[in-house]
Amino acid sequence: MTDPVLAGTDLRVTRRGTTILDGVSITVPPDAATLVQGPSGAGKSTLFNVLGLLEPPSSGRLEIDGRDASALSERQRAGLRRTTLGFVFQDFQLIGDLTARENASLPQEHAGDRDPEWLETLFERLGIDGLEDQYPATLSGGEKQRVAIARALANRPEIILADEPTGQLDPDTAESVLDLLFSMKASTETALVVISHDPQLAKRFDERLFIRDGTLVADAPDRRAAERSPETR
Amino acid sequence: MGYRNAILFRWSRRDRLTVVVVAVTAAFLIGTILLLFTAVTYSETFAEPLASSETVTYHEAGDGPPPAEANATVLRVARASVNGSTVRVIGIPPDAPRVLIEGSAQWQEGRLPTIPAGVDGRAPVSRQRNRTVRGTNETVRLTVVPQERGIEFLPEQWYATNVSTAERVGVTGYFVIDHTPGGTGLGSVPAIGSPLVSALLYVIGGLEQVLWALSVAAAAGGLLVLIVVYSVTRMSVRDRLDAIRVIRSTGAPGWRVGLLFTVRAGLLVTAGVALGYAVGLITIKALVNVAIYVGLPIALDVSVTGQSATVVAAVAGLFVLLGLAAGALAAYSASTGPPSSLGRGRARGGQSSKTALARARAVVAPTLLSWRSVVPTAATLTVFGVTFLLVVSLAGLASPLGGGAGGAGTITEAGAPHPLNSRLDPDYARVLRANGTQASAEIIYAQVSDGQPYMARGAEYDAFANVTGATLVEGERPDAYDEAVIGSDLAQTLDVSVGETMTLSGSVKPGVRRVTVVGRFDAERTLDDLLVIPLETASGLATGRGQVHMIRVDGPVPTPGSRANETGAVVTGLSGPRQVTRGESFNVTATVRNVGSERETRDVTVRYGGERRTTSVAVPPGGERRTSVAFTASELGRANATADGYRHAVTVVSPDAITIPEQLPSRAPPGASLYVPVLTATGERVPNATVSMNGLELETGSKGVAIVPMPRSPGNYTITAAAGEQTATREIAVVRGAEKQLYAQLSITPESGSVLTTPTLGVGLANPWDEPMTREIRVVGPGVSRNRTVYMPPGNVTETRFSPGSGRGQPGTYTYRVTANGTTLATADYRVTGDERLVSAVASNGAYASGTPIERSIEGVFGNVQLILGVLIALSALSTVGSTTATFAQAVHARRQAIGIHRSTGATQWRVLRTILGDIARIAIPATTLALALSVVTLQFMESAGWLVFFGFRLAARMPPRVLAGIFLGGVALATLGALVATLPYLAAAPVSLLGSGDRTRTPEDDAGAPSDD
Repeated sequence: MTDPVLAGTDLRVTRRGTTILDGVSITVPPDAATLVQGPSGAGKSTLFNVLGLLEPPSSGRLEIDGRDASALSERQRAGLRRTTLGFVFQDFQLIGDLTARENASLPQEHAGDRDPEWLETLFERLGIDGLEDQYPATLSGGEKQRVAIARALANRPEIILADEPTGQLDPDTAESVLDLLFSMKASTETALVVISHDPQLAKRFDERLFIRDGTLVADAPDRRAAERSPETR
Repeated sequence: MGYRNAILFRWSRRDRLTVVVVAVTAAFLIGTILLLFTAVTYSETFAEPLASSETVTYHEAGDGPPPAEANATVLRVARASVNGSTVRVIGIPPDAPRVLIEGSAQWQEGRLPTIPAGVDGRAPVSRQRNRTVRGTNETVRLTVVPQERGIEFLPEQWYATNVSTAERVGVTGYFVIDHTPGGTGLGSVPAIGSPLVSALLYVIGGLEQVLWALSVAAAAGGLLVLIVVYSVTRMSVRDRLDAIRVIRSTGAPGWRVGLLFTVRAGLLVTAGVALGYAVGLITIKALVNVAIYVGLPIALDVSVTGQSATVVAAVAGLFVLLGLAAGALAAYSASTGPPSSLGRGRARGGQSSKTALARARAVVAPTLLSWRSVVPTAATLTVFGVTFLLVVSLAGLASPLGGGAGGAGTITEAGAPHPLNSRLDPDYARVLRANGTQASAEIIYAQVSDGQPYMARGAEYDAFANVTGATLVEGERPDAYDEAVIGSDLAQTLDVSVGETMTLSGSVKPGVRRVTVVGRFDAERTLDDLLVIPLETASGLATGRGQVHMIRVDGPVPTPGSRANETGAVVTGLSGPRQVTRGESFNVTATVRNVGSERETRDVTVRYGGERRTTSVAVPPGGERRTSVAFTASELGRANATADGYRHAVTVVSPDAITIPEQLPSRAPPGASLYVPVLTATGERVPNATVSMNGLELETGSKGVAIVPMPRSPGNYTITAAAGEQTATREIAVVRGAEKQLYAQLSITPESGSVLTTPTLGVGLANPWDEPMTREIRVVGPGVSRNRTVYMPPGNVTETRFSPGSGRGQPGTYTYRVTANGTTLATADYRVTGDERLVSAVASNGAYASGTPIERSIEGVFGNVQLILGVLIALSALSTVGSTTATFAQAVHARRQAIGIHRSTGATQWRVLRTILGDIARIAIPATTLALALSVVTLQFMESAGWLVFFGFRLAARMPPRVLAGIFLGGVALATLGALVATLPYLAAAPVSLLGSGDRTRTPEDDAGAPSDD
């Protein structure tokens, strides 16, 4: 069995006396497509932040690409975010006064390793070529999310973490964005971890995890509960 | 908690930072105000004995007589001339009060002279005299008596008479003495006239000027508050735009939202001011205690008085009002715009440009932060720049930095707590000058004229100019007691021109003086803010006759204590007989001067002919005594008596020796007859001695004189005198046409001395011819110029002794000369020696301190002005850091999401910090440049508006490149520091907390465990 590219063990996050994550363990093999589902407030985004090294866990062990991330300095964690991880946020998180190309090239810029051809390829394959010099304010939601995906793939990461990547998109655009994510995952041999409360996504993933009250529940998901969630489309 | 309470009272770390910034700014101002008010109270206590509130004003007669006022005394002034000298005749009305109660100092009553019955007045005469006074109206003959002892209200050179006499002479002006009681606190400086005793009101007036300047600082501090509170409230509004949209969408009127944020800002400022009051009070008290602990001359007890509380309340009110205004401004758009537009940040649209300009802009423009930070940054740095420049300018007035101007330092009386308490003999300045050190004896003479305090200085202008480097640029140097020269800056401050006459009042004693400004000088820094008046004019109403406050020096002064056994009493001269007979007992006299401030007893050892004699003499402070020791002349010939490096030559002759005195001429016309005396060694005439010449023998007779006829044939002859076995000879040339001249002998005793030695001149005249002679005799030399017509019968001998005046201020040889009808008959040299011992004694008995006199003066009143300046600059730097931090906090906060994205996509903290530092440089450099320009313009404006005149000293807006560079670097450093303080929390926080909206629950404030605005 190949080593997992991401492995969290007994991850806990406590904030102001409230437990957000309560002993979550998760393993993501290379090339895998993993979906983390759960209702609002279950701790999905916190898990996304912890797995993406955007915030440290209160306790537990997290290995990324075989390295114990919990023992790393902030500088080394930034290095992993730069080279191994790629993020797609629900609200795109594009910088308003940078063009689409500048936004997408941020990881390359931080790594000091510019690769405009690869960016061009990404823009073409994501269908946003020609929009490179546009500012985010002039782009549609789908276009913004494609720019965000291009940014996530800019440094050819080993894992793409996506937090509700379709949450702000209409169904058609959402479908198209998901297609692109899987297509890029396949072509770049990247692991994909998507956080979502949308049960419709489940059929496309190799592995599905369910989180409730900060705890991963058994592989028998409470699908009906998820489907009854008011946020369910 | 309702939304109202949440908006009003839920304060974030930024809000608390704002409170701190306002507190620091308020502490700066409130602390300084309290310190200044305490200084006023202290000064009032300090100067209580000087309290006097009567004023004197001069009215020109050309403007008509002054209006009669019940509470005023009018003295007539008539300019007139007596024996070619200009005098003032003062007409004192009969109903004038004997004592000017409100115009008196504790130790000196303001007392007008009284006119005795039977005479016309008082004048500078030694006994009752008649004087012809030529006035503008008529010439009158006055019978005058000497001035009253101890009454110095009017100058001793003036004539005090009654009104009718003054009117007969011709009134040219009026002194109006206003008896209206006034106060001694702030606001009591009279707007018109000069207080009869000015010293206290000088201090009060100066403090009022500083308080006025502080109000400018208060306005600047208010500007800071406005900027900071505006920035922070805008951040709060921006953070709550979604909430405001909801609040307004659900029916809350816009004004209510605006009002809530306005009140919120007011609350922040109120909290800051309250905290600042406490901090200011505690800080100032603590600083004073520390200063006392480390031994600085501080005597202030900082406390709050009614007056200071009023000013503090005004400053606090100003701050709160500005805070409310800032809140209203910041909330304006959120409370007036349509609710739907709220919460939608303005985003950049369209395509990026690829022009060269755009590329250049990309290089120059900040990456993360906004250009908008330039304006508030420049504003806060301007406040810093103005404060810094002001402090630097003040330093020229009152810090050791100013010591370079006008000499290396000052000497005051040892142990005097303040130069005003110091009393020194002005002769010490002569001692120092004689030793090659430029020195100027000076009297501090505080003045207030028409509400403007200024400093006059009693000094000899030439000495003052030599020490300070002052140069006369208009008019001439003062040459009389009523002439003064004015510094260019003071001339501008007082609007006085050369040729005008000014009224001076007393400094620490009540009185009136008038001086004509005969010249204007330029000098470095604050030195041309002085009015230099003669020492004799200043001393009467400041120090007392023959005393000065200090000696300003420029040059080497021996370190006090360098001669461990040095006392204040030093030998200044040695004298005695020049010729004695063998076996005779004679005295050698040493002159001892005490340059110290205490009575000294000095042992003086005199050596002569292998013997030594020691005598002891007690000399009062500032006094001079002579002491003598006796020796017996034993060896024939010339030998020196010595004491402390001084020497006196004594020639011992045989008691039997006879001489023909030198008074015989060396040339005579043929056929003339000469009186030839024959003298013993002690100068007694020898009767019946034989005098022979060219074969002719004569006897001296009972008077010891032989009348010897000169041969008819020209040639060289010898006159021989013989008595017993003793003989004496003189050579004489008989020459046709030789002039018959009187014989003169000029002696000077001692032959040498220090600059403090006063020698005695002996002028001996003899008529050696057998005919009477009348000659115009003149004695000239340093300190003497005497003319006399002398009638000398045949054979007559006279001798006169007198002491020349001063004029031998430098080491060297001075020649005195006796002439008859223009022909020099005799000369004598007097040698002045430079005396290191004297200088050392002066230095060790005076307290030498570096720094300008005014600095030391102000220190005495303020405690230590450096403390105030240090507090000013430290607090202004602190509030600038706080303000720039608040400004950059807003700028960084506005870009926190971009920072979060950069960090999420792999930027390290250092990389983000580097980017922000680059941005700060792009913002701080133009902001500081702008601030520097604004500071300079502001200061220039303050200077031209006359707001930079403190205590009569017009501060130049000093902006040397070094200072400007310092401000620039300091400004950039402060901006960087502020930005770093603002940025660090965003670097320390988890990246997710910066990502703004979405399902993110952490914020930077969460990391600090504090409530968030988000």
